[in-house]
Amino acid sequence: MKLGPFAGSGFPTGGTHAATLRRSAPSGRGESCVSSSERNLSTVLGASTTRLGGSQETVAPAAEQRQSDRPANAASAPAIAAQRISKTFRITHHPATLKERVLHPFRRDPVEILEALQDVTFEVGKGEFFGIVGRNGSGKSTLLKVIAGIYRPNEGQISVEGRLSPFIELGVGFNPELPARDNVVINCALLGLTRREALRRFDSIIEFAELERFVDMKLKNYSSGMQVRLAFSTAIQVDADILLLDEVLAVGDANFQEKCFETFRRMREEGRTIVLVTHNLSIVERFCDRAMLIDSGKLVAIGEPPEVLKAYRSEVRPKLRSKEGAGTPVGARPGEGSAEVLEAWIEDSSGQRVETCLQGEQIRVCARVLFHSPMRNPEFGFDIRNERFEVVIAANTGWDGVETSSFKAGEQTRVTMELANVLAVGRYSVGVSVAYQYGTTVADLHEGITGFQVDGERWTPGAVEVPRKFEVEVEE
Amino acid sequence: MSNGEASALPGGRPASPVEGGRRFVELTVILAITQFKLRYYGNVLGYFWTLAKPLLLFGVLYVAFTEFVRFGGGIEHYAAYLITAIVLYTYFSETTVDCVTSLVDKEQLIRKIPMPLLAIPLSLSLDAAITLLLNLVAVLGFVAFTGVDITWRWLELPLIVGVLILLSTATGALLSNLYVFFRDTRPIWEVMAQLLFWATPVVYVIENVTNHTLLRVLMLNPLAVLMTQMRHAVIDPTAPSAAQAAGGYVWLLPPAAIVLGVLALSVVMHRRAAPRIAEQV
Repeated sequence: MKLGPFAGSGFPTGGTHAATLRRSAPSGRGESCVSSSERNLSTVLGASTTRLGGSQETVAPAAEQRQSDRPANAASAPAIAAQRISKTFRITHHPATLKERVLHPFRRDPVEILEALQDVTFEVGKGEFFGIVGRNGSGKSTLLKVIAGIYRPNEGQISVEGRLSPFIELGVGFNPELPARDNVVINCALLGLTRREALRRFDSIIEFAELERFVDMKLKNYSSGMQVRLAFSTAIQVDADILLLDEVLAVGDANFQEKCFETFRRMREEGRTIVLVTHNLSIVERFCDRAMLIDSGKLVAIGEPPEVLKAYRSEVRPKLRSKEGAGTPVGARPGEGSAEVLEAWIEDSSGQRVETCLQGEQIRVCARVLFHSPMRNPEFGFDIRNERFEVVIAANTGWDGVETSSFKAGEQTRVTMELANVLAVGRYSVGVSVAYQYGTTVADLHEGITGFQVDGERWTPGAVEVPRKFEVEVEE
Repeated sequence: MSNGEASALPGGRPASPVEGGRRFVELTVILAITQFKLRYYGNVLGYFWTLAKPLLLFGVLYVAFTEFVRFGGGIEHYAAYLITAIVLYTYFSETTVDCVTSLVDKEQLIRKIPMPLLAIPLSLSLDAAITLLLNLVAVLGFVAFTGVDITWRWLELPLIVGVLILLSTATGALLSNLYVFFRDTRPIWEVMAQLLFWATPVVYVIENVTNHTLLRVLMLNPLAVLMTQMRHAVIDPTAPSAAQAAGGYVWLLPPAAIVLGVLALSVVMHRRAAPRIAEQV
């Protein structure tokens, strides 16, 4: 088995991660990873086996049916096999110092143990497009780094069959002070290519990134889109059997995202294995053969995307909900405080409060406001932000010329904005503002007071999904 | 643009990454070139500044020890020795001090990509070594200009410089690993580097040390051995060689052991630390 680009270099950070802290004797070149330490692990972890243990199915690599030009794919050995992976981080509140160590050799600062991954077992078949979903902080990025060999698991073993290329971040090593050529060389070197190889490919990288006119410019003068294009064109130069992708798709414009997907689709057709970490459920639905859901470092579900997404909706989203809606406390919010946004929520057209709404339906964004001092003709505003924190919809009674009457101190009011739900599939947060004196003085501004999910059939990299009609005609 | 044409891979088939030692060397060299370029990029005075620092130190120390203290006057080719020793010592101290934070400074890389981590301090050291060689060319020109004879013994210099580079690199690598886990490594080492400056014959020469015990201790310092041998080989053949100053070849074994010890320690330390570096930086 090949252990990634850095195996055998004598630098243990590299790809060899048939790893346990106990350092189970590396069995040959790692293929037969279930060794005696596996038994040890069960005794260690036996008690802590989670309720989720049962849901871990070992699914035969779905990709086997897919025809491919790589004979190796016929073998049933998985591309990635993770056995009861656990990863904990020790967080100290003071940085450790040599002085402390010398003066108080036995004293240890209290450490907080963060269990980023607990007893995670899964396999990824060769040629599979495998999704890992979970909310922020669920441990999915840690898992990716464990697979990549950046972090070593505390417990368990992971074996990787084939050359692995991590796309955890695009453009690693880019330096804003240098022009494209140097940056491509650095980036390539970090990805494992030689200087000569990088330079040989430079022209075509630039061409693919559509940056011909900007070759001699320093990177700091590139727009972020240009940087991403350069980074992506460079990254796909590296030959790999397994690609690890961490939300790299979230960046760049729609055109570019499409280009990325196109590339990944082609790579999958070539029989490469792709592991994608994301919290964008629609991408999982659209691309993945199988997926896995992790939450709080534990494996919750693994299997076909629809099942996993169902688990996400029933298990993870309710927790997400309970944490949201609190927003920032009054004192910490902008606004001079003569009115207060108490709560906000989403209703469907029948007046039912909902957390999830369907694309294309009518929805109402509602808020309850309490006035602490009398106010004449206040202006109420809503903004709706997507996962990228872009304001997709912003509306205000003042801009729309709506009269809102006068309020006495202690009075409450309910504000409703009804609109057609044209939002793209994804998660949104709602902000509510109250202003007066023709909108010049802000009484309260409560960002992120509530959140909701938009579900729909159609995936789009855009921010909204509006009714439309295409016409394609042949012009004479 | 999503037609087959445009999405075809640029440059034909993807390239196979190189592995193992080759990748390590490539990466080290490219990182070193980058640092070198960044220092001089669009900066004509760049090289001047790297030479200016040892020159300034030389100027101050030379004036201090020939005019005020009247100490250097008695030493043959004092100016030539002083400048050469300063350039060599500055290389050592700057490399090691710069290396201390190198891994933590490159946290953005380390957390995002699996890579041979030693390439980071080693690239810094390589970059500094290039600068050292450039400086040495200038300094040896000056040395010859002050009337020092160029002899076959100058051929010892590459060996001396080689050992110095080895020592500096190993120390730097060791410190960079240590700093990941102990953040006070840096101030501690800065003080150590100051101490080492005075524990190394730079402004003085080894014959100035008349106390026998002190001499023994000083000659444990590999830097003192290197400087003394450098003086014998390059500046003044009548000056004692390192073996003569130490009192016999056998006394050169402890400093040699120190160099090898630091090297071994840095390798062992790195092997032990490497798996945890990414989560600690």
